Amino acid sequence: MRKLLCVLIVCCLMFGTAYAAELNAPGTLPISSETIHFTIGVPNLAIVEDWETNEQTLKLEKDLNVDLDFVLLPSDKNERIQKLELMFMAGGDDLPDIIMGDNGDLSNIIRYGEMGMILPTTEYYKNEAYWTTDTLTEGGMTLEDELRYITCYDGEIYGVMQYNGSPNNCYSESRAMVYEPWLKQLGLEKPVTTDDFADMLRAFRDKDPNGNGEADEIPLMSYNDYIQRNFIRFLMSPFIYTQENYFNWNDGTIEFVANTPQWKEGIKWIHSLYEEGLILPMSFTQDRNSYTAILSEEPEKVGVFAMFSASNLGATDARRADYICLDPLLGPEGVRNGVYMPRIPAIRMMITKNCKEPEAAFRLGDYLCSQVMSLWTRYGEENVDWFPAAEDASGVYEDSFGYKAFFTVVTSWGVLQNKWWGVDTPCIILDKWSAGQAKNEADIYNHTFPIGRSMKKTVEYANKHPITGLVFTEEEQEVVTEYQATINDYVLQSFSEFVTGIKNVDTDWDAYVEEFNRMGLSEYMGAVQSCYDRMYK
Amino acid sequence: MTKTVSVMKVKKSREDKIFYAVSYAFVILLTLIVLYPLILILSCSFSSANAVSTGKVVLFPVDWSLVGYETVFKNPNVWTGYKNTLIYTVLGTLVNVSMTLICAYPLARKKLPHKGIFTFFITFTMLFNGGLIPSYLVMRDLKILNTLWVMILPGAIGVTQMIVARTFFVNTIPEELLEATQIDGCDDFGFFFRFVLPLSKAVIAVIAMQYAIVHWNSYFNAFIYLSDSKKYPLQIFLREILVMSNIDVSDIADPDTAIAMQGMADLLKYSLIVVATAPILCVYPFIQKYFVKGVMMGSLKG
Amino acid sequence: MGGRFRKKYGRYWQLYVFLILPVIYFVIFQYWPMFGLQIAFKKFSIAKGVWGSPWVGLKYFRKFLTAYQFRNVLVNTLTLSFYSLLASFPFPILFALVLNVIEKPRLKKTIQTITYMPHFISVVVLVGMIMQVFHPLIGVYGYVMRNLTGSMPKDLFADPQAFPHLYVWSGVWQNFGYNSIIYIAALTSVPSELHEAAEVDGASRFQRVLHIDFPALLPTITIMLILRMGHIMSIGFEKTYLMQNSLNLSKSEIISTFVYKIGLGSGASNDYSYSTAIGMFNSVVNLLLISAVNWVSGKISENSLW
Repeated sequence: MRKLLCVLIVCCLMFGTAYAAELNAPGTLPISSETIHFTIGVPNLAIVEDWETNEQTLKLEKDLNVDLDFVLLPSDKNERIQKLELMFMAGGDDLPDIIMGDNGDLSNIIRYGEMGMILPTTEYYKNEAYWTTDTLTEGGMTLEDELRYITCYDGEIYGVMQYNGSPNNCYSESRAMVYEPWLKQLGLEKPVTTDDFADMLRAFRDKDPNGNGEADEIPLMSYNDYIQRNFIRFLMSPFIYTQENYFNWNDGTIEFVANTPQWKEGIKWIHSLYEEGLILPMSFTQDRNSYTAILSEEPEKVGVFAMFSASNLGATDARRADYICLDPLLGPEGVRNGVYMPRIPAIRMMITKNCKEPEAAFRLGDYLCSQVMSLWTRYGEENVDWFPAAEDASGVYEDSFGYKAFFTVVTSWGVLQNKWWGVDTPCIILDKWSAGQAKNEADIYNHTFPIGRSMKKTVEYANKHPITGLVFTEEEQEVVTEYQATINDYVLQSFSEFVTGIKNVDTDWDAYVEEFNRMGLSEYMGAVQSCYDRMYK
Repeated sequence: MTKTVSVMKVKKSREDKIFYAVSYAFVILLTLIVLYPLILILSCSFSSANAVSTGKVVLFPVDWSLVGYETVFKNPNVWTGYKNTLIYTVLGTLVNVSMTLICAYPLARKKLPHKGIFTFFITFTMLFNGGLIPSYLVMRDLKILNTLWVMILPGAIGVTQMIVARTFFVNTIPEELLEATQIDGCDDFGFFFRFVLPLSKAVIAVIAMQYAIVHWNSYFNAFIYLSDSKKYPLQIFLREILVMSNIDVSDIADPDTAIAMQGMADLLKYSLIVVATAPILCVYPFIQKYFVKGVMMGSLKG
Repeated sequence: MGGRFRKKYGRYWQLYVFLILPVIYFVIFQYWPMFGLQIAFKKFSIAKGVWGSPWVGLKYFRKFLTAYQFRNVLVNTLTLSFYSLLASFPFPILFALVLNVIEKPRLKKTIQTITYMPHFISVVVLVGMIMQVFHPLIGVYGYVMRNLTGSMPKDLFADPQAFPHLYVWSGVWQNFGYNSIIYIAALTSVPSELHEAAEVDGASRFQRVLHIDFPALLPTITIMLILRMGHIMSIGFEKTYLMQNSLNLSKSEIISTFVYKIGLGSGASNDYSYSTAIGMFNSVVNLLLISAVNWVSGKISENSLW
């Protein structure tokens, strides 16, 4: 009898360990007494020197009692998705256990889930998201709210979230910046109306603020990639709200703004600026390198640029701290709003069907969202790479958003290093951290300080109904894919042609508007509206 | 009589002199035009990141700096990349050249029945391609994914190179030579190895170089078919850097990250280009010695 | 029956043996994957795979041919391609012929090595350099033109009409050296006796180039031209994409950039069916062109592909 019991117990033990490893309760470290092994597919970002020996990897392995191996995937998003889709189509046998990185939005991810290539984590999020909940609570957010954004329309969640809150960047999409020393020198205040703005540009052009006796000042400049972004948004916003894809929320209806009378007025005004020589013509064609070269010239040449920051200037160029944000302009019809694009959580880690320990994998992702790891992955180690702010320190963004100083970052971001992973993997970076830099007057090269003190009006006048986070169904996606690129390109092309005078805004306007109908605008907007109604009504 | 001859002679040499002068001027001018950007790239690689980003480098290095090269060589990926690329290039080119020659020679023989059908069959593949998905599935079914073979076999015969070799055979190996050897009892195998190959040094050199260059620059096959980063060729690493310098801000959640990465890419870009390209550039001088005139004619006379 | 077969093919059996391996290669690595071409006629989804996706017939072809952009991208692609051909095809030949005249061997080798280097400059770097050089404010072009004319020169990148020229001639610059190698190699097989005899007969150097060197290159030239026809529709994507901007789009949008934007449009939902259909359209056009030129060439000279 005893012998039988022994055999039974041994069998049970073997049976038990043959299946999933025994995990400790959520929130305890390590995850398990056994070392669990994972292979992780990561984007081959050149920012990380070696994933295997990276200090963050080592810390994770120690804290969680796991052993991590890495497979490098292409760093370009489109190529990476292409490669993953090939692997899915071939049956997925050579997929790593976990895939991290930005691999498409929910409409893609749900397809992979339906194929059975990636596993749902909905159950795990119910009870085991200890660290995620902890960090969210610290930031005044709830798990329930945030999960909404990563749940597919079949009700399942297919991975682990990332939230990269960055209040500054939420307001940067329609930002333009001006060189403060010139304003001071000419005795000007930041412009409020479109007329003020034009006057300021004229002053830059005529009054030789850089003092070299030549009329070589460039009042307003941008470069090719940014025409469709900050340039068009900042200059059009006093006439009509302009955001990505040219949508505007009007009491539940999504409108298209690029064929409206207000758009026409905006173009007329911008064209007049161009005609007066206030906009650098090469803004439409030059690339980033030329733009940076002009910006870096001595003496200073550029008055206003339409970009989100002055970080293009060399790291040792003190003028980085001299550019401040312009406020959204007030238009002739009283319109005044800039773009505010809220950050929402997104899926940055998927657990594939090859993973033998999906629950443990989820715990790994959850731990990455803990406060310690989230800060580590972006800012580094406490008291080594960043220091908690002193009690009386003032925050860079305190004036604009009211965020108190949280820390001072010492180690700079964006160099080849082996300390942290970066922000392509799960993490929760709270708004109050990323906007919580302490002011440090000695750091004269920091371009965020001037942004922080000049953003108040931008926040005040931001549009309250941004349109983002639309997740299309397959039918809607087909329509959108067919028309969106063509329509957006046409808007941009025509805008450039109207402003530079190739097309005449008075005589060619009607043909321009008519063209949209031929391009299928109504079908396109129909799909967009149906998606919006489904999601938000 | 003497007068006419000497007049003719003078006329000829002046005409020739002008022609020579124009020719020299032409090629030297072209070379200079080509040279400037090459020097620019070299100069950028020896300049500081800041100088490169702000466009200060115009001809000579600004803020002489070896940081670009240091960063590149410190990175272990570069060394494994070099090793892998060398292996793929050498083995791959061997396979390419042998397969191409044995394919081109029969099709160069005038009397081979149905050679037109074979040629069409082969040329058709240059025009129609199944695409990424079926190619991937085929490699998977052949079980060569993530192996050395997947870097060598898929491009084993380039249609263009094969046609080039065939054209060469057709136009420089005369029928008379073939007939002469056949009378002496030489068969096709023998003729190929003992006569055709030694006479084809120039074309072998050309296609070997073209294949080697394709292998050296290849990035796409590795990115699709390989998953072990220790097998990656050098070009993947170069490509990741180049992609970074043109990164689309909307793909990165944090725009400042994009700027920082672009700055780093600017630093590494030029140094990496020099490091990745220098070896293959050195191949050409070795190939040139095979472009020797009139190697063949002697054998016919005999 | 066996005897006749033997008689026709028997003497060539060794040549057919040579062909065995190459044919196997083409069947496995080129023809087998062609089964994937059917997705041009199917509504492909990665979940259902190649075989499981439903048939939709010519839907995607119709979609392409009636697309708003179709005529424009087709015209741009053909213009760019034929212009490229006209400019970049003769240049390497001319260069090879002239270089062959040069007698100093070390100078010759140096020039060959230098001119073949630009081929290796990656597209990203090349376009960056062009944009920098032609910048009206800070580029060499701008500097020279401002000193010549006293005013800011035109921005060539803003002008759709200038786009084809920028695109084509930068390509010529980049590749003429590398492309001339094959002609240089072909010229080495010109027997020196021919040149010696001509010299004795009183021909000038120029006449020798015209009557000996150039005809020797004709077979190679013909074949290269025919082969080139097979790539007319496949004009490069990356270079065009990098050189595009909102002002030159009317001339710089070609089939491959169009496919990229549509196929990878929003949210990276790859429309493989659509891009395969367009690819097939390109292949058919290429096939027609190469067949036509091949047929003409076969009639007027001895050189043809098949």
